[in-house]
Amino acid sequence: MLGRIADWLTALRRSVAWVAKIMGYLAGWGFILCAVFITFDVLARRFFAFSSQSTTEITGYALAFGISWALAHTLAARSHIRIDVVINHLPLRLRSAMHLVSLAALGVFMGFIAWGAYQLVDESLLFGATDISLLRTPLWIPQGLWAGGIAVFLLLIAVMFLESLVLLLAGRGAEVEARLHARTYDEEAAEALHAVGADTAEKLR
Amino acid sequence: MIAVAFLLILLVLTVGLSLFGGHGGPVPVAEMVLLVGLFIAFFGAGIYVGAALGVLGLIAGFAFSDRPFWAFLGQTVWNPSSSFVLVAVPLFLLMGEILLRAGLSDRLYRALNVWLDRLPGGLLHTNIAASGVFSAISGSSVATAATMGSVALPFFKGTRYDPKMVLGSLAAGGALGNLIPPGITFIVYALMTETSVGALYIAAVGPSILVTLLFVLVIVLKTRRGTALDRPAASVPLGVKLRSLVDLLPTALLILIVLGTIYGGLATATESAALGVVAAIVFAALGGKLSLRMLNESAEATARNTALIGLILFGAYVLNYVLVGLGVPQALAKLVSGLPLPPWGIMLLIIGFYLALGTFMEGFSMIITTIPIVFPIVTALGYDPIWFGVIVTMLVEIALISPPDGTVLYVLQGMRKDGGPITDVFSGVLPFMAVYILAVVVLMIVPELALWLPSQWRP
Repeated sequence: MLGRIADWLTALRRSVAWVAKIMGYLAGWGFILCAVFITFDVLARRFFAFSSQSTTEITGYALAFGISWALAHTLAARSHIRIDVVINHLPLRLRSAMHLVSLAALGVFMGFIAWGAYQLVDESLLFGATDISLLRTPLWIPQGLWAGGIAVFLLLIAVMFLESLVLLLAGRGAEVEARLHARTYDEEAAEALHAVGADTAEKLR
Repeated sequence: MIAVAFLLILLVLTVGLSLFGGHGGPVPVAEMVLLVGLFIAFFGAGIYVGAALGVLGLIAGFAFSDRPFWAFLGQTVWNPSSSFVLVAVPLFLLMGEILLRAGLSDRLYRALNVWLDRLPGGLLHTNIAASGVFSAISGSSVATAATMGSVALPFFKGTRYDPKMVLGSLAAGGALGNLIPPGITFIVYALMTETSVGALYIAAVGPSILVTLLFVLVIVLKTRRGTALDRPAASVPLGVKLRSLVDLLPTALLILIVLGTIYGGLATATESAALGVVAAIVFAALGGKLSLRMLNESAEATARNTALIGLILFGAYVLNYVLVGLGVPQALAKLVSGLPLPPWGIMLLIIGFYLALGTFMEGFSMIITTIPIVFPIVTALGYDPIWFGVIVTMLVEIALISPPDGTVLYVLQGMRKDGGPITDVFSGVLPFMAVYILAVVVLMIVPELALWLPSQWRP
């Protein structure tokens, strides 16, 4: 029974994580566009005496979008930073319980943040607030996108918490450990080596 | 363990002295002890750093504050999220990710080697120079150590270089990355303390040169005392030397674009980071390495690393908002500056605190977590905010290479093929760590080393 619920929750978690992954890639492409936009504005200002006069605001929104839309993907990729010197020495059962506590703390915190973000969007809508750039961007648009990313993050936390809880109850703590343990420096180094293409060179040698 | 013991002694000392310090004004000692205790418990429990800070803020708010602080959470977190200064962080990260994939590291190492080969200690200088330059543009010390290790270690196969010095110099070079502008540590520091990124970058010039010179000195002294190292280096013909410059050109141009525009006052740090990203894409395209897949991977890595910093910032801003509302940093600053200790004594304790913390905490979390509390103390003691930014960055770098927990050391150990013990890496890096700490002390005695340049030259 528990096993079936766990498998069902795993499938649910996978689909939320899939959405989160796409959002993460979009966030990254947002930064690429941001760089191109700022470069264009700097060059245009320098050489054509022309400026959009809203780089500061727009790139700020891109940052807010980028941070919040990648939050969930970062959780699924186990990249959010934890200090694991102590818990790495605990026995597996206790360690998987600690993963659950960590998720719960993250959930409580992000619950408050999500609520705050919602209030912020609501107020901006109510007062029709805009920024002071040339574009007069209605603030609810960037703030709404930002709040949306936070909401998906909160959803993923909730699903992961339930999944881990059921797995733990079903005595499958090792799976919780595999899904939640913090990334090791080995993994980080492997990622860097993959990026420079050194891992493939190694295999050819 | 020594680090934890030191932190506990520091805590007891602060509380003890505050009780017998004999200064006026109520100090929320009980609150502070409770918060510090919770803080240690959360971190020990392995809770996500951002969540630990945030939940601590919520607890402090609900327990001690009678103001409806929760009504301002949205705005508190939105402000740093959409800050133009902070935009520089993902852009520099993105530039680094693209360069990492642009095949720059190998060419950089070979080209530098042609030029540094004849110095006493030859290849070891190349290690310092290449890691220093590469980590300055890549921003991540772990990535630098991994990349440079994979490029450099094959060069040492069959030579008589002491493996300790080889590994030590690679680690040390990587620890220059955040100190040599443009480091992202400075941007986060500037955001949290409302100081100028440009001024920090200019202030970092003197100390960067000092640390690099000290590293070179370590190598020269160590290799002169040791046995003859490698084949008597055949002198490289000038033609080859000049041709190798072509391989240095992309890196040099990039540094010129990024730093030149900041130092020349032509662009803010964020703008020059954007120019750097576009330039990096152009260089990758020229090298035939640009592809949609490569850009996609860079975008993903950037998004992940930005979100990771973002979550910690969320937590820190919530905690800070509550603590400032309660007057904790102000009270603490008053308390510490009222201690019967000279300012430099307190500064030494703060430096010790960072070194100890750095043995088990990653640099970014360390800065974001501690700066809101430590910064008011430092300014209350009369120290310069820009100077302290440089000191903190140096301390974070030292932490990265300090045995037995420095991450970079383990990455390098993992890349060795000769199967030597990790203690080789430890003893190899120690002389470099020692001179790095020496540089911090020098900077304490002669703050002008950092502050003279910004006072003369304001972009």
